[in-house]
Parts: sequence; structure tokens; C-alpha cells
Amino acid sequence: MADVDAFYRRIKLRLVETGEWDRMKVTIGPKLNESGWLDDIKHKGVERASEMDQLSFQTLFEALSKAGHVGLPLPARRELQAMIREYLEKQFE
Amino acid sequence: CSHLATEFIGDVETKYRRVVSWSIARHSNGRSLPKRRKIAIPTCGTCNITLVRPFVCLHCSYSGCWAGSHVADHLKQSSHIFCTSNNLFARVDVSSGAIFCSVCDDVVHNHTLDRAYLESHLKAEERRTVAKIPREPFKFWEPLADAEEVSALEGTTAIPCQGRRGLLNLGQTCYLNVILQCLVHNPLLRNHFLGDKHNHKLCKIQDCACCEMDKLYIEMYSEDTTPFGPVSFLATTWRKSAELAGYAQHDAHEFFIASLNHIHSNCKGSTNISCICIIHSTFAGQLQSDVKCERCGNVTSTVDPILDVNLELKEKVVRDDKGNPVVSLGACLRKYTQPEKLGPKEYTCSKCGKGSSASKRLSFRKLPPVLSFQFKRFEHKGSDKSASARKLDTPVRIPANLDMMPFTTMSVKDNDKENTGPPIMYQYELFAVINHEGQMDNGHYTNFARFDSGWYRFDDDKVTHSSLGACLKSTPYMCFYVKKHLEYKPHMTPTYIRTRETEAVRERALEQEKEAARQKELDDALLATV
Repeated sequence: MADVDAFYRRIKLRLVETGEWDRMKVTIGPKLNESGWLDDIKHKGVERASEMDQLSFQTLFEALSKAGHVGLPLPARRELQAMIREYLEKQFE
Repeated sequence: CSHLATEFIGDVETKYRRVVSWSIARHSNGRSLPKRRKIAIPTCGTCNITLVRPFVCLHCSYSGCWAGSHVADHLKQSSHIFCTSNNLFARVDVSSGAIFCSVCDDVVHNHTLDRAYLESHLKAEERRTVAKIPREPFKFWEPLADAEEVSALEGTTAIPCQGRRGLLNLGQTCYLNVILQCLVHNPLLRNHFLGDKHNHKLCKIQDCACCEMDKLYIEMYSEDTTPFGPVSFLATTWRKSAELAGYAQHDAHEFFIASLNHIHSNCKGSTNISCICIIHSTFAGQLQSDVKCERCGNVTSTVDPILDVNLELKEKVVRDDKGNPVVSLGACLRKYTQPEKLGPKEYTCSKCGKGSSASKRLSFRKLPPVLSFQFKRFEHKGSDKSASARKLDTPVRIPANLDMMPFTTMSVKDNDKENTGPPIMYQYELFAVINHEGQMDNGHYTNFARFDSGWYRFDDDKVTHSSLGACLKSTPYMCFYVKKHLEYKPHMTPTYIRTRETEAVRERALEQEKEAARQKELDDALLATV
């Protein structure tokens, strides 16, 4: 299992170094905005914050992270996974 | 956070600004990859993993992950107070460069921070821009630095400036009310008229639309919050545009364009070409149309001035994961700027002569500070207006933040992508939406508008608190976006002022000549008598 962690770190380093991480972000980002996911998270955040009597970043962050992952639009998720898969296949050729 | 006020100075502030600049320099948008990476990737000081979103300590050289409290622990252990992060999420959302205070154990914020962020962000982007036309470097307005302005501000009372006032329906005038609300909440128009750039008491023009605007702003931004009836605005509109007269329901978009033209025609110094009146400075953009002959490849380009963008809704509708049909603004814009086939009967190439097929493509050559979109929801069957018309109620998903870069002439042309300038130039924020419910002839207009971060719903005289979510859920007929940041050319005196001055100089020279001539006559006469 320690191997998986080491793998993850190496792959992440490679992704960032080659600029692939940024490229993927730039491809997925606009799609997330256009699908309304980004605005939805923002709206949820504003609503949550207005209900809290003691504003705390960490609480909001945790709640929104969960909601964000769950609400991720399927097409964007699939596309990102495909991009990652394609990259990995190229690396391990 | 009291610590921000006292501790965010000197080295700490300098480090913060450097982090912001570094962040701008580092994010190449995945484009310039062939160049070797000059900047090293930071890793977490605690767990060593590559950081894609580094949280940087503002007191030492540590950077770390947010997860697992790595950076929070560092702050506590070393008694350092602040750390920051930069979220430049896909250039869609320009973030706030948030700061976390370990003593308050929360993300903190104040005005100085905003300023520091904006200044360093813009400076870094300016450094990276290669501009053919020189830009004016950004500077904050410092009212206290100018003695004239200081004395002007003395003895003035500040009043709340929100313009949240309903408009009375004067008889099927909801179409007028929604447009007026959108104009009132337009930041550029608001600043122009509240800045006393057209004082209706000094203007001598009959039926002046600018005077009506001035009066409207005075009413809407006064301390009176009871609904206001825009009677004189309506009367002036009837006198200037016969087709909008009468108590029948009219199309809001038609009234919008007519009003823009009225106001433009009444502005001082307005011209028919490259006008700099407030309307054109705010709404005018340029649309480029490129027609490429399929046979010889010759491209003819024409540039047309536009005040707004009209989008078709007859989209093959996409279904989202819940199976609901949805059209997005992005999809409409893509359809608008995609190449369209012209048959040989419709096109004759100027170069190779005979009729040939061609492809025509529209793109935005110049983006205005305020972008207005209209969705063509009213479909007329047959050419005359009174023929049966259908209303398309397709829901459209519009974003709160819009990036127009992919629809500009530069992007569409495929070359010169390196020189598109700072991304913030293409980013817009939604500030008003107009909705229409019902059918063509018996419908009702309402609208949403934003002031700062608060959204409100306007239904004639009823104004209620609302939210971005409610606004985005509604079905838009028209929507308005404003640029996140305005860029300036170096200051140039407007042509009409320069002409006025040269005229004045010439007149004075003429006067002097005449005077000299008269003097000479007098002298000659005197000499003659002697």
C-alpha cells in the first residue's frame, strides 16, 4: 500500500512539472462553470454562511467539499478521468 | 481580525505581494510548455508532496498543504501568524488571495488586503503583457492626495448609495421599468450620471434623454424609498419614438435599443464614427465577419459596430445528468461564432469571380465594458409582426462569471494566441437579468439586479431581497455582464474638445489681425492729415 502512495506522489509531481495538471484544470474549469456547478457551490456557501452564527472557514470548507464532490457533473468527471487515464497510459508505455 | 490591522505590514506585506506576483507568473494556462519551466514547484514542508495549491507562510519560507492541518500546525509551532494561498481556478474566478490567521483560527479579510492583492495582481499581469497600444498602468484613486478634490469633498454628506427603489407601473410599462432598473444598476452609467456628467438643470436641449437619465438617477439614489413613477421618461420616449408610444405592451429589447440611441444622440460630442459618448463607451463593441471562399481561400473581413448580442435559441438541446433539457450561454455563443456554410447562390468571390460556396464566421473583435445579451424568444411566423408569434420558453443556463476569450477574433483565428493579454480583460460578472413570463402580447416583465454582492428582485414597485441562486434559476430574456476590470488607453483629449480649442485659438488670431489692421488704418489716416 505504501507503493500506491509513492506512485501517487511521483505521478502528481510529473503532472505538475510537465504542465499537464494546469492543462487539465483549464479544460475542466470552464466546463464546471458552464454547467452551473461553480455557481451552485458559491450559492450553497453563501447560504450556509448566512445560517452560521459563528463563521468558520474550516466548517464551510468541509461541508462544501463534500457537496462539491457529490454534485460534480457526470460529463466533467468522466472527461477528467479519461484525461488522467490517457496520461497514465502514455507514461507507462 | 485585529491582527491584520497591526501585523500586516513591512516584510509580511511584501512577501504577500510577492506570492501573488509569483502565482501570476507561474500559471501559464498550459500553453507555453515548450519553454522549460523556470520556476520550481513547491513541496509541502511537512509531508513532501507536490503542492498544486500551496499555502505559503508569510513569515518564513515554509509552504504546505491545507489537508491534515500541515500548514496550520506549522503556524502554531513557529508562532507565525499568517499564511496565504492563491486559488487561480482555471482563470474563471479571480480569487481574493485569502489570508489565514492562526491566532483567530480563521480566514480573515480587510480592505487593505483587498487593495494589496489587486495592486500586485494587476502589476504582475501588466508586466507580462506585450501591448501594441500602450496601456495606462493601474493606479488607485487617491482622493486625499489632490487638494482640489479634498476641498470639494469638505462639507459634503455621504448618503447610502444603493438605488433599491421600485418603479410604478404606469399602464403596461413593465417593459420600461425593467430596462430602467438595468440601466440604474449599470456601474458605468451610474458612475457617469451620479458624477454629474450631465446636469439636467444646465442642459438646454428639448426632450433630452440624458436629462431624463440624470433625473432618474437622482430619484433612484435619493433617500426616498417609496416607488417612483418615471412619467417624464415615458413622455420623452413617446415624443422621440412614435413606435413606442401608446399604452400597449412593448418589447423591452426594442425599448432598450431605442433608449441607447436617444441618449447617444443627446450626448455632447457624440459622433457617428468612433463615438465616445457614455453609451458607446459602455456598450459599443465590434463584431468581425470573415467570409472565406472555399475555392480560392480568399478571406473578406468586415467589422460591424454592435451595442448588444442577439442569440438564437433554436438549439439542439443538451440534457444534463438529471435528464433536464438545458441550453447554456456558452453553447449559444459557440453557435454564434461557429463557421456557417454559404451556398454558391449566396456568395460570389471578389477574387476568383464566379459563385462558389464559402464559409462565414463571426467573432468578437472588440469587447465592450458592458455586454448585453438578448435571447431571441419571440418567433414570428411570416414576415409581418401581427402574424401569429410563438414564444420559446427554453430555460437557459447563464454563468455568474463569463470568460469571452474563446469567442474573440484572436482566439478564433488560431494564430497569435500567445499575445492575447491578461485573462482578466476577458472576464465578466453578471449584474442584471430580465425575465418575461406569459405570452407575446399578454406577458409581464420582471428583473433581477445586483448591487455589490447582494441580489434583488424587481417587480415594478415591489423590490425584494433575493439571491444569485434564485436569479440563475429564472429564465433569462436579457442579461447584462460588466467587465471585472477596466483597462485604459493613455489619456487623450477628445476630438471635439481639441477642435473647440483650435477654433478658439484661430478666432483669437483673427481678432488680433483685425485689430492690427484697424490700427494701421488709423495710423494711415493720421499720417494723411499731417
